Amino acid sequence: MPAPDGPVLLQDWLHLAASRHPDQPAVLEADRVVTLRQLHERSSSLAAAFRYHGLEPGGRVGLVMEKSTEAIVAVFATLIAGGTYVPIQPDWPRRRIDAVLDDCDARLVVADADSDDDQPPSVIDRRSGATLSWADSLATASLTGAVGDRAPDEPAFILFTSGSTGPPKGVTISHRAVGAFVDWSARHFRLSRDDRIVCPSPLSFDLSTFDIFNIARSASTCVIAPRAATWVPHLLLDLADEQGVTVWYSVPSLLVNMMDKAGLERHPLSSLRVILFAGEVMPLREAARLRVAHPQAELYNLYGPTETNVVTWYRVPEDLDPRRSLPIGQPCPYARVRLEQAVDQPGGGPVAGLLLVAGESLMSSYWNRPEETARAFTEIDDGRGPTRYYRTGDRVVLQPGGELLFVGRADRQVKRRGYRIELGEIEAALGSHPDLAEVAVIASGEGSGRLSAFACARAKAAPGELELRAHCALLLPSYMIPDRFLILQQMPRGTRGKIDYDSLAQLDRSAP
Amino acid sequence: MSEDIRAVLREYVAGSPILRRPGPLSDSTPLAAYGILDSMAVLELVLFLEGRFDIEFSTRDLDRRRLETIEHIEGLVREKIAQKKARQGGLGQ
Repeated sequence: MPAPDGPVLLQDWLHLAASRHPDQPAVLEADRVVTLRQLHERSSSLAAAFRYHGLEPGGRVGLVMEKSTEAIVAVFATLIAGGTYVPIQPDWPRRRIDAVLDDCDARLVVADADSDDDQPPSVIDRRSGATLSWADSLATASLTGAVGDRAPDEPAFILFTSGSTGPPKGVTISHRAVGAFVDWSARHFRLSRDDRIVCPSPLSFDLSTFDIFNIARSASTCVIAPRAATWVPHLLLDLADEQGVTVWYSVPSLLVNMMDKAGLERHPLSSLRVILFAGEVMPLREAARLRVAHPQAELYNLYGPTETNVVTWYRVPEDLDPRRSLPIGQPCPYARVRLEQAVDQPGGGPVAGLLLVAGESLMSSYWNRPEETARAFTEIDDGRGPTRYYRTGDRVVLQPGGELLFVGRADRQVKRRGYRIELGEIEAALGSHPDLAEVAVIASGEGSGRLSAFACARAKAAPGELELRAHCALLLPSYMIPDRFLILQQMPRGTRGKIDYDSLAQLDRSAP
Repeated sequence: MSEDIRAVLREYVAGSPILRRPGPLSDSTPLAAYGILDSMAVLELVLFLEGRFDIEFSTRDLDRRRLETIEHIEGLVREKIAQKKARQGGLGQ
């Protein structure tokens, strides 16, 4: 489907797609189908309800929801009403959810039902405390007044990600920024009405912009994975076969888990033509397994922090050379990359450095955090005048052919099952326990996936592990809770008095 | 019957090599929220329960809220056993 030239508002894509292909399936969830016309009508009605309940242009709507048909309606409704949506995982601790809603001053919240029944979500006005049922919200007459005027550079959504000093920080993404990635993805992967896309990531993951906004951009169909698929990967294979999924997009660890636990390699998946992965390192040998098992599908490694959307791509070739790691590839056409603190490798080999990224897809700012925003960017005259570059904090190697390899982080950010975690946030949460004097957290093991916490108690009797877990669970999502807790008499320190993380890593290896 | 299921669950949680054991757990300790039962371990637990009690979970059963504590899991297992018995009873008539 040809797209209008120039920057667009994401909801304009939906208006256009719904008028061109009203009966095209937009969302498939279990045995329910919602067409583009229905998605457009429901989103417009909900937008009218949002406006009626006081949502101003630019106002934030918290979506405390799993990815679902209703969540996609709420995403487009927020945009149509001129608002900015803030996706939040419902299984986060209550305190963390409230902190994020307060931070972005969300007046309205759409929340999944608390019970385990298949109840629809409800809309909550946080100022008045009034709750509106889903049915009543959708019954609101769609008025022209529902449409909020927005410009492409204004925020479409805010994704809250782990904060290095404690509370999560909001990455603010404009229509233009996400539109650049979605539009490129539609062209590059030749997406059309024939495509059925599954992306089993939460609404709060940046991966979820791909399947949701290609409903509008490409009139492709978004296939919703059952919630239990997070634990039972077999369900995803059944889904892919039953629904004729053509495009897959997930974090690598899910694909690896599906190969190890669910027989992905032996499954035919005959309709699958494109497999995309992003969000963490895909081990080379696992990419090779996948390449061999599914020769019918094109395989791509996509790269980009939440702050930049996807900015590089690499197509996994048939004959995958054993190299240092799977390349993250070359920049997307809307992105420019360069290296900071670049050094030639010994022997005149490739150049290594910290990756900087510029271009249309960059975030606008960290929400309400001007100082951190200023630190995240650097202005460089790259021959096209002063340009804002984002400091990714990723160490990369530029190979002679122009391909980039990711080699590690320059800071204390780790990935665990695709979740981005700042060790500093875990330390802040654990360290707020009144009986602990000092704490440190390290990541180890393959893909830094194992978290070990070290703590010194204020008194002789240290709190037990169960109590420390309970304390962390008040503040942190379960994927951020350390795998083990070790109580130390005192922290090992280097000559300048700073915590010696190398000694902690040794302790971690030697402790039973 | 109810006590038996709970005993099996306690034994599993205490003995499974892939579960973290921060010390003695109560039947109402939130297993997932405390990071004791991660997404990989849930699959093992589900397969164990299906084999041990000869039941089959549907997609809808596998809601994290129904697997949050030993008490919740027991309730879910009991429900599945009752459903199975009702089906078998129905077939026998």
